[in-house]
Amino acid sequence: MKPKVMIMMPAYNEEMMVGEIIKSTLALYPDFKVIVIDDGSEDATAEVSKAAGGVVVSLPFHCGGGTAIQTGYLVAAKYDYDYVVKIDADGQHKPEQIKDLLTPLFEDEAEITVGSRYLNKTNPYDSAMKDSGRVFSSTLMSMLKKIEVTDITSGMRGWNRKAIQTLLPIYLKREIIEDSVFWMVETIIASRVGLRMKEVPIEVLPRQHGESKSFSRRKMLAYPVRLLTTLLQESGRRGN
Amino acid sequence: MEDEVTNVEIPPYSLIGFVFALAIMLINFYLLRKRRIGGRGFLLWLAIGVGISIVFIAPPVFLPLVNLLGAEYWLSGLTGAAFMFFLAMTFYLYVMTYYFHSRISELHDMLMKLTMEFSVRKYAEEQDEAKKAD
Repeated sequence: MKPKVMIMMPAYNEEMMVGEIIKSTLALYPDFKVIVIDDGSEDATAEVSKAAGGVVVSLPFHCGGGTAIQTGYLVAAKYDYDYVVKIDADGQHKPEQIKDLLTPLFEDEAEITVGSRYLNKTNPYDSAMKDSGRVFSSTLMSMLKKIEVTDITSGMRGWNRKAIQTLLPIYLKREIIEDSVFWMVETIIASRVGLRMKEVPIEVLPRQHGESKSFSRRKMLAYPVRLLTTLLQESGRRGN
Repeated sequence: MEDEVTNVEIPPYSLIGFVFALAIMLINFYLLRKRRIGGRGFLLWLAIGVGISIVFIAPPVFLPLVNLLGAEYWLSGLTGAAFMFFLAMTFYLYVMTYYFHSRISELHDMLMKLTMEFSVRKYAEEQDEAKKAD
């Protein structure tokens, strides 16, 4: 029996790219279901996604990346998906690499897979500032939390059913995690509850349309503080 | 230049101010670890705590400012009392800010979770209707 695979694609005002990404994903993996979590887009993201063959779950207003991803987890749990892979709707993640994230999950090498820009080579597309931020946060995690990661902020990830069923109740019980540190907190939780993580090398392309929602200059400057306070907060947590 | 304040005496009740600043910083740290205060709020109150403690334990740091303002005396009973009142008000504001901030955060989280549930249910209904239509 073929496993049920969901491709989760949170999207906010991505009408320019989302259709193309859905079409290329479905062309490569016709058995997979592409579920777009439309995070209150003001443009035609939902319509374009449906026209391209995706299924759309619409948040009524812009809630932020963390909430959109957790909505994806809810859908995956409710509809009993065996595997979930998240890719961005802005065209930075290559659909061809979805299989690279799924293989370790299929072979039970890990419960969570993370696409890393830095595993085998350097990342040629991003600015030195962005790269430094990612390397700084990954190093800090490795040092303070003893979790070996090279690309902690990577948004191209895969989960098996066990990971979703373990993480979702934890998310529903705790406060909403801020977008900029969502992956870092998930990595800490996963390590705390004993979910195995594996990084796989990926290539992340530059954005072709619009501005990044997760990286503004102001956010980048505030990021080190956010990172340190989050690490302090997570250290102070009892349970998950 | 004769009028400039050069000799700073640290009054014994400075200790109260220092303890107060220390308390603010410790409570702040506790609230951060308990996720009751955000990173920005933590930094703001940490800066306030550090500032107040410097006023009390190392007042000469502020001599240039005192002289710039043209003050003739470092600290009188009146300014001391006024400062204590200021500290009390600051602490009151701190508690109030913390209370409203945590309440707003709680409500925000509840709204987000409700929105998630609502969206998924709406999606499920749409799927059911589509199946029925088929």
